[in-house]
Amino acid sequence: MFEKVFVETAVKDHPRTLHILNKLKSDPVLIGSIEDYFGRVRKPYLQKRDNLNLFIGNKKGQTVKEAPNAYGLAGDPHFYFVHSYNCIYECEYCYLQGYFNSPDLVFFVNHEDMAKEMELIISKTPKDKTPWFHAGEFSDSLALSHITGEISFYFDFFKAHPNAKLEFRTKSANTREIEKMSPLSNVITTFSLSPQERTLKTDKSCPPASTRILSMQKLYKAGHPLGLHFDPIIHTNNLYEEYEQLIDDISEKIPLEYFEYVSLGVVRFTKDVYRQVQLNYPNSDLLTEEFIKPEDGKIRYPGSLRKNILKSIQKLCIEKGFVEDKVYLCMEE
Amino acid sequence: MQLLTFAHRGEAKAFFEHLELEAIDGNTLYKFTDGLVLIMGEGVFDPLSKVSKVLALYPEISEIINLGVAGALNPNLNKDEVIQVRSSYLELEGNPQFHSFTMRNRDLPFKKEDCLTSSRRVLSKEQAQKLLPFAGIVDRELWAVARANKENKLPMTSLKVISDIPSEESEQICQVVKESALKLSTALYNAWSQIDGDQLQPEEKVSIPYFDQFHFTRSMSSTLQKRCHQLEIKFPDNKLEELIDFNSIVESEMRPKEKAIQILDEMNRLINPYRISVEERLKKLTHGLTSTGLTCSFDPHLEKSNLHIKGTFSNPNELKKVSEQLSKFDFEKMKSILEGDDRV
Ligand code: SF4
Repeated sequence: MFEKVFVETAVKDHPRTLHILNKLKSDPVLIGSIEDYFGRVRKPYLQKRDNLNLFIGNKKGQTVKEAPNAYGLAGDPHFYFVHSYNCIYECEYCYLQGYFNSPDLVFFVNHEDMAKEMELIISKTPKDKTPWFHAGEFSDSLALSHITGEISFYFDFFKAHPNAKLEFRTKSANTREIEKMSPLSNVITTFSLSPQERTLKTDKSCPPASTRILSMQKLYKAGHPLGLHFDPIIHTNNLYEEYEQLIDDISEKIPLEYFEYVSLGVVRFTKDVYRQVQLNYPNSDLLTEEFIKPEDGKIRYPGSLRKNILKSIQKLCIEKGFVEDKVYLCMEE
Repeated sequence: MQLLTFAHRGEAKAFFEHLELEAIDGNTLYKFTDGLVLIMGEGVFDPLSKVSKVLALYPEISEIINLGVAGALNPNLNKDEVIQVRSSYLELEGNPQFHSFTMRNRDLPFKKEDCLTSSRRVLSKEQAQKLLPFAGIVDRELWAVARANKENKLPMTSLKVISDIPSEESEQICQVVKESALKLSTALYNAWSQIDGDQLQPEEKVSIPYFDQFHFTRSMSSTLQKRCHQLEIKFPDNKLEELIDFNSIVESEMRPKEKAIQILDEMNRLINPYRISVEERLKKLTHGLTSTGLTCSFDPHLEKSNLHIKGTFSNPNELKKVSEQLSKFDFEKMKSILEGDDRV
């Protein structure tokens, strides 16, 4: 999977490093600090297809950060924590394209430091609010979790902090590590899904929607809380029908009222990411979408189309049986 | 035409033997049937200035191929092995430089590696280990060649033969390379021969039916090219003539430039059906207002549910007509179109 594995000398004997190296059956090259190498030269994004390196080290500085608006259910404070950089998948719209100037993966092993920061935030949060912590802002939080091995640590931490919530967000079908855990009501695994046709076209190398639904079903049967992200929604002439089919496929395996929440968002890009899409996927149908390119640099559908898409899919979700107040819109402007 | 670049004459030895090279500028630039051979010297400055000069003098160059020796940073590489370079990086006095260049991805039977152009000779294992996170091989000139090509953006290929593995004995590397020059150069020549003949496809020209019946200005031509590409993606199973009625446009009374505009409009309609349908519905809705001479416009990004009206009135009668139309205007309908409430 990785061409070369680089390990910071400081963590060479860390149990999580050893666990990862053992799983990868790889001889590492020792380095001083990840920051001296990772992203220092611009490595082309698509080189991830045949030349992906891995860096293992400590995340320095702040590891838990306030999430941007419209990140999760409104009313509660949301945070994300930085446990990893980059992803093995290749979704054409991915905002990580060019974000770090390198597609190489980074695993941070100092989860104890992240937990300490979370503890501080939890202690400062008013009692009537629930602090949410989201894994996977800069990576997929489950795709390689059988290698990184931190899942049980977070289950233990959130068991001890029942007033806080954790979201693992994934496009993978890799639920092995979660399945080993006893369910906790405050640890929610969420899946980003698109209709099968769209997944095949755009979510390169991700498991098909049907496989992800089967993994969701396993977690449902084991009693793990679940969430859904219909995000990014990409407009097609049969959008309504395609989402109807997707929701029917889900409801065949899991009762829709079981889901903790469903978030809906429409595809959008910063100018830089859009440029990367043009460069990396010149034949992508995303480039023929009816986007506006306003001065603020946020490339998106015109307002009226955005609202049209979100309202119609929201209505569909409620009609099909998701709990109304658990379907929320990511209306970031 | 290819431009073959070498840092040293020794690296090009086999090329001198096999190609009938004819000197055209001292002992640095030579001509052969399919291109030019340039001996640049090493480092950043000599190659940068020499390649820039040649590119300016010979606009017919369509591709650059850099050939030469390189040191292995990746311990899994072997001496005398030919490597196809993927990306080119630079380090100056121990500092990696951010800008990189990507080589053309060719289907060749060689291992692929990134190449770091270093301002220093990499002699020890320790030095090599420090550079390994950036690249698998190290050379002395590739980045400069790529930098000289930055504006021209010609496709570039680089083939390197591994001449040394940094170790304690590397001190004598220059001598070793000199002694093995013919062997290393022959490896490069054989590798280059495998790409010789693999010509670049000329850029595809857009072709639409009855092209000579239309007049596309320069900027219209580039829009045409972009829209044709978008239509190809959006309607992969349809030919252009199945999507657009070229016959009726060609047979119309319009002038060639107007016909070209119409073609572009038709393409736009296919590419942006939602926007066109919203615009048409809004046009219909404001028909009463525009018939009194008012100009109606909306937020171009369809973000806000506002109606902008502009008009000039010269007598009370005109004002009366306008206010009649204004009172009839279905504002709620307009709002529902702009708020996305209508199913499209
Ligand atoms: S799964 Fe997420 S992080 Fe990975 S490529 Fe797709 S969008 Fe990017």
